Amino acid sequence: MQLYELSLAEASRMLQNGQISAHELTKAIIERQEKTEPLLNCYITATPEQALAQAQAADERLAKGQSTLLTGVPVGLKDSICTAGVRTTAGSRMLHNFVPPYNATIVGKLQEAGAVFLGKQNLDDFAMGSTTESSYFGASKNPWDIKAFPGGSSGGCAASLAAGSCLGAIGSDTGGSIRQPASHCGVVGLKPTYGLVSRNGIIGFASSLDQAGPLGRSVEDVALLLQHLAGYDAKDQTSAPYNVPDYSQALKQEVKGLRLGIPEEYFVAGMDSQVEQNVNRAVEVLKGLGVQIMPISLPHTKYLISTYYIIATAEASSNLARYDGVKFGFSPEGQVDSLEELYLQTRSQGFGSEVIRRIVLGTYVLSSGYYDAYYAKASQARTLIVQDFVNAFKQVDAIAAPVAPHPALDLGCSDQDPLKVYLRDIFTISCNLAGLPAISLPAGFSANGRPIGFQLMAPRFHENTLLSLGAAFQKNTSFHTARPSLTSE
Amino acid sequence: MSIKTSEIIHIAKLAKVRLSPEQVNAFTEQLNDIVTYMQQLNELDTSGLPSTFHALENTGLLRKDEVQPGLNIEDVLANAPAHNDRSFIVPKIL
Repeated sequence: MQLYELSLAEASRMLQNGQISAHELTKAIIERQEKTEPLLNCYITATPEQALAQAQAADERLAKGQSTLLTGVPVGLKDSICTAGVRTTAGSRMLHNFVPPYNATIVGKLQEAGAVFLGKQNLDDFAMGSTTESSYFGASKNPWDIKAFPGGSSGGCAASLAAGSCLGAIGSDTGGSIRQPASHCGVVGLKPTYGLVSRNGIIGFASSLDQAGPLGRSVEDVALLLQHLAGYDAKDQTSAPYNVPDYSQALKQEVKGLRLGIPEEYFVAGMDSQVEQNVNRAVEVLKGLGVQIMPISLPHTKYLISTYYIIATAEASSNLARYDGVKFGFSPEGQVDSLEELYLQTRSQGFGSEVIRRIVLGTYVLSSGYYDAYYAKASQARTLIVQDFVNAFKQVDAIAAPVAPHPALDLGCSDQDPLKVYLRDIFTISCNLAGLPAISLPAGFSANGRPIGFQLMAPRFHENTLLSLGAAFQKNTSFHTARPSLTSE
Repeated sequence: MSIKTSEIIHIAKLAKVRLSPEQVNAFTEQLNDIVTYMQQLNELDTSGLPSTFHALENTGLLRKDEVQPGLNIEDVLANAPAHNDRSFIVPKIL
């Protein structure tokens, strides 16, 4: 087995017992990165020199017995997470030259734990997309089939993990951006409860929906990463004062007797039959372990897309008002005569077309005369969607669902009709609207070899339940141990 | 069509983005499709229903008003397209 094929938890154990050094491991992953990047384009900025220096420091910590389980483990960061001194672009021309003067809180936490940073991973322009195709730096490719998109927006994270050019990654999820690429690339992605992980230093898209979280090859990997990401942060006004439990305990927890709900509204016409079969098979595996399967109803499911795209674009239009060409980021060339002209040129040239479309839509739903019909109405519909889950969780401990309605499509074939593209987010956006945790787990492959994931959702702060179910599922399946053979090899 | 081309031009002005004539036409058509779809929310009786603006109830927590270290001014200004030693420079306003 090559070092780049290890799971993060396996690598951590080998570092702890001295079987490998952080330097050796980091060097192997950097070599893998150099080999796969020309093919996959997972990184916007790779930082091999910084990684080797951090690996050396990690080896010193390991030798002194001052390590954590993340010390010396090489990870990637989505490029919407601010890193002091390392360019952070959000996949956008608007921030193509932005070097943050500070670290996101979670970067500081990982650094303190001794993690090694390999670089900044690709995403759609300001995380607005589900393929990475709107990235100013070009799309990433899916290691399972380089003709396919890797999903998005955290597509660089998921593709890199599948290819072995990192052993863990931190992404962010506003409407499925961790879970959907994890599903398309055959890795695990966890979107934590809103407020569990600090958003300080994460470039904002829709502040009431955004949440950072881990991607890994196994449930154990994401549990280990979550342990170091979670916790109250005074720099984030929406951070929850919550005592973080020991997530490793959840991995050993018995799942027999847990009640798993299957929402009837999620299994409807229009879903790819292969996705449906794989999700059903995954549910059968859990049933075989003594999990009680129950039909449930989430009656407002048909209103999810409308509610989500009103709220997400409204928040985006107000969040992205800060990009004015004055303080940081893109600024037009040449002499500009007025402040108004500076704003117009900066924003029209700096944002990609999907971002501009969402800003215009968000401005429309907030504008005078339309506010009540759209934004105010959607905020009330959100209450009904939250209530659906409150009611469902009176009957069940977790909910099983698909992640995406079909396996990854070919790059470049995405529909030109934005509404059709938005409709693909139907299975993931509910957890963002309701602030719930959810995990995407590898559950099989399509006939043409593209990964298919399935999703588990739980009540707020019940990450433990997701980790217990996920770990039990992975003990009894081997989808997560499959690795792609890149065509150039 | 519920959204007119003139409205798209007005909204773009509010959002401080300049759209090409092709973008104005494309956005008018696309936003009409999207907004028409969104009108399904009118089916819902939401009278008297509270709004949800945040998934958590306890948002907006304030810390104590104590002086804490902030960012270094030079580091912050280093990202600005135009600045002097203490300020951002913008085109003439008045």
